Amino acid sequence: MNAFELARPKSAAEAVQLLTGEGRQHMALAGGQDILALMKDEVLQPVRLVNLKSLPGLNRIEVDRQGRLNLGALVTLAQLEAAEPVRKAWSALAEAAAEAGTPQIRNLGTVGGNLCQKPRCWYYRAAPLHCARKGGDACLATTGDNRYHSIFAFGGCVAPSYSALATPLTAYQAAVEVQGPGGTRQVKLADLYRSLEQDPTADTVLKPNEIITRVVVPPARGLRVAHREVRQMASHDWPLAMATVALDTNGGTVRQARVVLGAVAPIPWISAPAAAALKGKPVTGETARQAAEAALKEATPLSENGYKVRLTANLLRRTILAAAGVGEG
Amino acid sequence: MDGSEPGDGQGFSRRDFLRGAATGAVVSSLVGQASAADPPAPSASAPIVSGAVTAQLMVNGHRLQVVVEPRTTLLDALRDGKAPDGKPIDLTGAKRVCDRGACGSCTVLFDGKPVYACSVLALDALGHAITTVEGLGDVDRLHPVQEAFVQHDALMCGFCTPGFVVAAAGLLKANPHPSPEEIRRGLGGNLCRCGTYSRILEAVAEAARTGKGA
Repeated sequence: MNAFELARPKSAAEAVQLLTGEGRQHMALAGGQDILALMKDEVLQPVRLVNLKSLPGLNRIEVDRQGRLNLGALVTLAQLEAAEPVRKAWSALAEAAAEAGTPQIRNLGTVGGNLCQKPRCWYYRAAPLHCARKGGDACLATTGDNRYHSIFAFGGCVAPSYSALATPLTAYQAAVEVQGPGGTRQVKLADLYRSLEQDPTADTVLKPNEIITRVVVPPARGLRVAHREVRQMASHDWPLAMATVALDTNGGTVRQARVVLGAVAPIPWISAPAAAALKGKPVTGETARQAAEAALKEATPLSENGYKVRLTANLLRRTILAAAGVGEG
Repeated sequence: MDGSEPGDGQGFSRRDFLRGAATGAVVSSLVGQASAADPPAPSASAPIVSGAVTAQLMVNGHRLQVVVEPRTTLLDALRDGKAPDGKPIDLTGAKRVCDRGACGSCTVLFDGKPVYACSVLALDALGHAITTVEGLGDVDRLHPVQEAFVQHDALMCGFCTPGFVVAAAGLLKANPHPSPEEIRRGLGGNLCRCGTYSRILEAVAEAARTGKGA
């Protein structure tokens, strides 16, 4: 690992100040479970790390008076998976946290860090390779080994979004609170991520000197939500696909559905066709299958990952049934 | 326990050989450089730390002075770090294998919870209680998990063993009576290339049964 300086701010405002610099020479450190490996591999070479762990109050889980879940950015995945209010009222989020990484990673990895992890692509993570995400001319996965990559591909970079929390948080319509030089702003999860086509310089809308301080999740009362993942290995493996389905039902009929897929597109994939296919219908094996097919109709798999289309369709069908509490979910 | 590896008693260890051959040269030049050109800053808790500083870590119940840089991981501080007087720390129980948080061999307890020592900066361990395998038990007084590993012959080459033992000790501390599934999940962050998993799972179940795991 190259030498760097480690700054310890006392407040979020001071952290922003310390992060301000040229390009991405200064970077934030939270749990360190992604960035340290990227620095050892010299994919990232910041000259300064701003250690957010010294910031007060960001490791708390609270339910506010409006019934919203407030997660400090430094809450660990282990805290999230064990928190009683989360398990009760936002269970899909607790389940997703419990599936991420390993016990060791969950004991240090944070909510903010999980949301801001860098693309999981072997071309991106090999320092000598100059892929499109690192400013090169072409996405090396598009023409190379892309067996785990996006099936809903944008141009530019096909590394899929692997954040375990982004998928359920998008389905719960959460927002992140961002501290920057001009104060704080809120960004909806659905607007947080950027594909390479949308922004060639960053994978989120966060500026280099902005940090996530909090995640705010609206009350989920009345919603039926399920989160499911498929992975090759039972532990310590990134999912081949994940799905969160949130259903607002009335007497067995779906009033409104939100369907979000992870690990299949460069950003959390909100499937409007699947939601539309469920609207106004009861959830049955047949309507779940139709919705899953509607979602996957948009898929444009790459040379090596056609298998993910059927796999994701089956996963989504099962997740819809699980959300509705019907049959084989 | 003096932190030496099994086999040190025979008067020769792989580690001594490696240290003489290569590792030592790198480590001593690094520390030497730091103390000559860039004298250690007075405090590891300064608002901005760059270059070598002396950090006080709490390891296995003892205060430990170790010279580190911001980029020094906790694992490297424990294994290859030196005290300000040049004395090696030499806590080599936590193993450096993948160095990317993927294998579990470097597992230590951080305030009682298993973490990968390769994925924590040493300076981020200030003020936290670190327990390495050396702190769990020793040859005369094995930790119940170590005892159960011996009874169940739960190791082959043994390289992953300290990581598994520490992860299991952390698991039983948090959950003294885990189900078989909870044991599997609790040890899901450790790999054994020899494939001794079934005996490891038996050993941890046994340590839990005897009720002395924590």
